[in-house]
Amino acid sequence: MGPTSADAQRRQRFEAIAAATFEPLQRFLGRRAGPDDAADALADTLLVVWRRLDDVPDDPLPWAYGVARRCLANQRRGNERGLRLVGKVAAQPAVHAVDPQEHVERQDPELHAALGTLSPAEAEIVRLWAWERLEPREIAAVLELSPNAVSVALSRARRKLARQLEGSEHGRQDRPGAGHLQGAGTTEPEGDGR
Amino acid sequence: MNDEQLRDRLGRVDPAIGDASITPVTSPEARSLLEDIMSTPVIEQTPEHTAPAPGPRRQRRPLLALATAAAVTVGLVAVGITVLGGGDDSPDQVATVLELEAPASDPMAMCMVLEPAILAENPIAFKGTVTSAEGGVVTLTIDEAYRGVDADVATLQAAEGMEALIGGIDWQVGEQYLVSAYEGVVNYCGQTGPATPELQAMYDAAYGA
Repeated sequence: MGPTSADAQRRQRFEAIAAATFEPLQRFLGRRAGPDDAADALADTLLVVWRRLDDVPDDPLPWAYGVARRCLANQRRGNERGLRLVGKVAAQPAVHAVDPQEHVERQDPELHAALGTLSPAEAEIVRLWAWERLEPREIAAVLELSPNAVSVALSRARRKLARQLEGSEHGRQDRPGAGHLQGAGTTEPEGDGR
Repeated sequence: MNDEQLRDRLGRVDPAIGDASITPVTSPEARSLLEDIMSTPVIEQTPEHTAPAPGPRRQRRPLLALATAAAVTVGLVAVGITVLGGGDDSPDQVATVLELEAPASDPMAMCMVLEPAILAENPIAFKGTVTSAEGGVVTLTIDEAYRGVDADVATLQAAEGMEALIGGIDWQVGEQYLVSAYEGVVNYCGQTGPATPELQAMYDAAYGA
């Protein structure tokens, strides 16, 4: 077959992956970054999908989350929003224009404080479990950890949270946040990475 | 508090609840973004691949100039790699441009310890010898292509102000370097640099050379 039909096949595959991931990616990014960063990261993520089409697994969403997470991290390292490589979706006013972490803190200060005691990796695992509703093996695909490591870390994190939230019923425990709850930029996995 | 109670409590503070700002994939904005992306050149393995010509989208989005080597870098610390088709046996050779970003001011910040498994993630990796390094452009002849490169020559372009030391590496004419890139970012963190025996061993382990 000539390049034309290969190109058409490529487009078709990309369109299918985009259809499956476009809206979930927006939610994923909107939970972890402000609207501008999220929009930029969405475009960057889809560009990576286009360039690495052959690497996208049959279940594209966890893989795409992993790419999106790294795009956010790269953004934070680069600290640049000048030139974007690809035009982004026109920003619509977000209902929650505030930083997503401030949202959590406002809505449930106890929970925010409890999450702050987790490690960055634990916090991200909990978010992927609770918000993206991923199974441990899917979380493993996002974070490039083994499913086993994720299961262990998830159990540990849930226990930590539960203990603190139950404990705080007996009086508010003020723990200065030892961990980071700033989204993908600082959640490098701890030593149990591959 | 059991797992479901905990998940419910976390769910109640989900920032995405009731967020009306999600753009549907069928919307005109989404279509426009996807079309732009699908118009970008992709480095294929076969030398016959011709990069699509930059189209009218460049007028809609003046910042999108992926196919133009010169316009890579305004306001962004970026390293572009241009991979040129090699040799005289491919009359359709077209320069396909892969624009890659370099990390900002401190390339070594937030680096993980380098392991072959990390290196192996990179879709582009090669060993090359610098033939020129001036004016913010480093040109290498490709001595060994490990992954994702099917060409004889590569060029790296730096943003203004970064010409002296692209990505914190001192590119010397006549010296050999190992270069890899991942998801639009040239990975420094020790992953790109002079072809020392230690780094070569990493590349051999990562790419099965």
